[in-house]
Amino acid sequence: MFDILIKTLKTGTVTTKYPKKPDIAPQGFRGMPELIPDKCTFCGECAKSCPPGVICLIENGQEKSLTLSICGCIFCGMCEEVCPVGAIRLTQEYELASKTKDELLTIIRRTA
Amino acid sequence: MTVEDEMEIMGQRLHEKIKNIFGRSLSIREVDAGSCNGCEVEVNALSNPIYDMERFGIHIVASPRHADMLLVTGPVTRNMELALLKTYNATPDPKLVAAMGSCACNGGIFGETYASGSGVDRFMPVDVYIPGCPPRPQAIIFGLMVAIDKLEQKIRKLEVKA
Amino acid sequence: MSEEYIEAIRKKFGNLILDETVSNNETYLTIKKDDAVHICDYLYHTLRSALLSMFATDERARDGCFKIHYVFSCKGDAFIIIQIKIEENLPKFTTLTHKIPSANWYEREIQDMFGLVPVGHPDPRRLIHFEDWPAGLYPLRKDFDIRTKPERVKGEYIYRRVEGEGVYEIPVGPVHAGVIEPGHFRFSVAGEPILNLEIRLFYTHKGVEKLFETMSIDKAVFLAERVSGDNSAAHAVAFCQAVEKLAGIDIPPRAKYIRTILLELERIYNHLGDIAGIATDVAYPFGAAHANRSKELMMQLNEKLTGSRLLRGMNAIGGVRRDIGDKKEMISKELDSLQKDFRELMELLVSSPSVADRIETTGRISTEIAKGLHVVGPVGRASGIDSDIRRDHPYAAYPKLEFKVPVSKEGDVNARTNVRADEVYESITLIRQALSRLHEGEIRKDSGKIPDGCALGYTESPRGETFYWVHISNGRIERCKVRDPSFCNWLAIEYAVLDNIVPDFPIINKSLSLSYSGNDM
Repeated sequence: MFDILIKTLKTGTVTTKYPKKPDIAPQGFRGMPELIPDKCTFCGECAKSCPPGVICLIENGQEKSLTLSICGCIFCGMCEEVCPVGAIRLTQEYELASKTKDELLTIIRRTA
Repeated sequence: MTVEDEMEIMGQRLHEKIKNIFGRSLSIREVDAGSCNGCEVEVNALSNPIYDMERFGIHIVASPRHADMLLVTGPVTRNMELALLKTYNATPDPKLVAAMGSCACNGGIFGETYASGSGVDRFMPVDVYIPGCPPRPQAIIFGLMVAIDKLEQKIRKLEVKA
Repeated sequence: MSEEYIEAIRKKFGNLILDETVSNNETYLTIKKDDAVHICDYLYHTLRSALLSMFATDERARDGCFKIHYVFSCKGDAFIIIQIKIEENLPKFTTLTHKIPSANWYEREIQDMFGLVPVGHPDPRRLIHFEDWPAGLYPLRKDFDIRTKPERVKGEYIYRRVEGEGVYEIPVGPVHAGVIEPGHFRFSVAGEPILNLEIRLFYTHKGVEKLFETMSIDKAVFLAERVSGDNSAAHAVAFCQAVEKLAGIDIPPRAKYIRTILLELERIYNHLGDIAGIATDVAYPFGAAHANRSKELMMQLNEKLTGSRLLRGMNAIGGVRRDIGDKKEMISKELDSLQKDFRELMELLVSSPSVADRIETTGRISTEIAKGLHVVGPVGRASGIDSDIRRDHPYAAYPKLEFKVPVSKEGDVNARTNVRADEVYESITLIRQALSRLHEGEIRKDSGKIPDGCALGYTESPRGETFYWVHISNGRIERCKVRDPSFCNWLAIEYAVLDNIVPDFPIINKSLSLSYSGNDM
C-alpha cells in the first residue's frame, strides 16, 4: 500500500496542458508538407515518388498545376527527399483537422 | 416561406441544439474499419495519464448506442463495411463522424483495392477529417475539439499562382 | 548448415528431387507434387525442422503453372524451401494439415487467394473471403485486377456448434467494447467456463499482398510499415533485408546498429503496452497508468529520434534514412529512467496478490500445443519453445551483441508477462551495447538496380518471427508473401481459453498480444 503511495507521490502530475498550452512537435517531426511555389519547377518528381499518390501534376496546355492533398498523406517525406530544388518540405505542423476535404488541398499553378 | 427556407431554419435550429448538447461532453465509439492498428495505439494513448482526455469530458464508450460520435479509422474494408454501417445506424441522432488517420480520410497508402474502399466519406457523411499516419494524440485532441466547435480549425485551402 | 539436412533428404528421397538451387542461405528443392507430404513430414518429424511459412505463387506466365512453397528452418541459420508445381487444369494438392497442424491456415489461405484446393483438409471453409464473395474469383492470381469490386452474393458461414443442456453461445464483435481491432469471437459456454471458442478474423483484409505487386520497391517499404502498425520497424526491416539479400547489398555497419536500436525500441514500447493492457484487464489501474506512462515516454522518445511515434519512415533499401547517432545521450538518459521506473512497477505488480490471483494458471498453452501450432515470439517462449530469430538466424547487428533469450515453461498469462518484462530488460542492454558500438560512417548505400530473384527476409518483431519472401522480376515486385507472427499465434487462443471463464478472456487475449491487421492483411 505504502509503495503505491510513494510511487504516486514520486511521479507527481504528468498530464500535459495541451491544448491550453501549445505543444510544439520535436525537431525533425514529419508534419504537414509545405510547397514553396517560387522554387517549384513542376518537374513532377514528388508526384512520382509519393506512395499514396496524393501529389498530382496536371498539365493542361500552357498551364501546369501541382495539387497536394494532405488528406491521404502518410507523412513519409519521400517528396522532400526527391525534390531537386527543395520546393517541398515537411513542417512541424500537426494540427491538421478539417471539416471539409477541400481545405486540405494545396494547389500551385503556373502558366508558361 | 418556401419549403426550402423552412428546412434551412430548421437546420440552423438543429445545429444550435447540437452545439448545445455536444458543448459539454462527448462520448465516442471508436470503430476500426480496417486500419493497421497504428491509429488504435494512438487512441489508446489518449487515455493514458499524459493526455488523459477525460479532462475534457471526452470518453470512449463501449457501445455505439451510448455514443455521440463515431471515430472511424481505416480505409473501410469490404469485410467491415456492413459492420460499420450497422454501427452508424445504431448510433442515436444527432451524431458526429470523425475520420481519423489518412486511410480513413482518403484511403491512404492502401487506396482502392478489391478489399479496401478509399475512405469513410464514401459510406457516410463525415464531420471532421483528422489526417496523420497516425495522427499524434495532440492532433486527435485538436480534431475532436474542432468537431465540437471548441477550437477553430487552422488549415485552409491554399491556391497560389506562381 | 542445411547441408546435413539436404544430405539426409537426398539419401531418403534422392530420386524424387527434380531440381535443386541454392541462393544465400536458402536451398530450393523442387519435387513432384505427390511427394511433398512425405518430404515435409520427414523434415518436420524426423529432422525437427519448423514449418515457417507456406505460400503459393502464380507463375503461369513463365512456367505455365502455379507453385506452392513450404519454408522450413534448419539449425545453423539456413532455410530449406520445398517447391511443388501445380497445373492450372488440376488445381489440387494434398493437405499437410494432418501431419503438420500449423499448415492449417496457410492451406486455407492458398485456397482463397489462388483457388488451389487442399484435398483432404479437415476444415475446408473459407478463411479470408466472407460468404458474400463470389465463387471462382482469386485475388492473387495474375489475371485478377486489383481494382475489381466483386458484387456481394448470398451465402452463409457455418460456425462449429456445441450442443448440450445449458450450453449457450456468446457472440462478440466485430466491433468490440474496447479500442481494439475488429474480429468475431463465438464462445460456447456452460455457465462461466468456456467449452469452445471459435474465432473469425479477416475483417481488416485490405489486399496488401496484391498491393505489393503494384508498387515500386521504394514505395513498398512504406506499405510494409503499415502491415501491422505497431510493428512498423520489424516489418520494414524484414522487407528491406529480403530485397538487400537478393541484390547482394551489404548495408553500412552504422545502419545495422541503427536498425537494431529501432527494433529494440519498438519491442520496449510494445511490451510496455501489453503489460499495461494486462494490468488494466486484471483491474489494477495503478499499474496500468504507470506502464502506460512509461510507454508514452518511450513513444515520445521515438518521435524525437525518428519524427514518428511508431518509428515509421526510417528504413529504406540499402540502410536507414535518418541518423540517430547524435542523440545517443538522450537515448541513454531515457533508458536509465525507464529501467528504474519499470523495475519499481514490476515489483509492485508482482507483489500484488490481486494481480497474481488473476494471471497465475490463466490461459495456459502447453508446450505440446505451442509446438504443434508453431506458436512464436514471447508467447511461444513462455510455453517453453526456446526460439528467437535474433539468435537462430541473426540479422542486422545482433551477431555482434550479447543477449539472453528468456524462456519459461508454465505457459500461462503470468509466464507471458514475465517473459515480456525480462525482454524489456534485455532490450535495454541491447540498445546500450549498440549505442556504445555506433561508429562513424555512412548510413545508406545506393541500392542501384535490383536484380531478378527471390529471397527471404526476417526479423523478430515484438510479437515474434516476421517473414517476408520477396520475388523480384524486371525491377518490380512479382510476389511478396508476408507472414506476420500473429498468423501463427491466433489459433493458439482457441486452446488457451478452454476451461477458463469468460471474464478471463480479455486478459488471455491481451497476453497473447495478437495483431488483427498483420494477420488479415
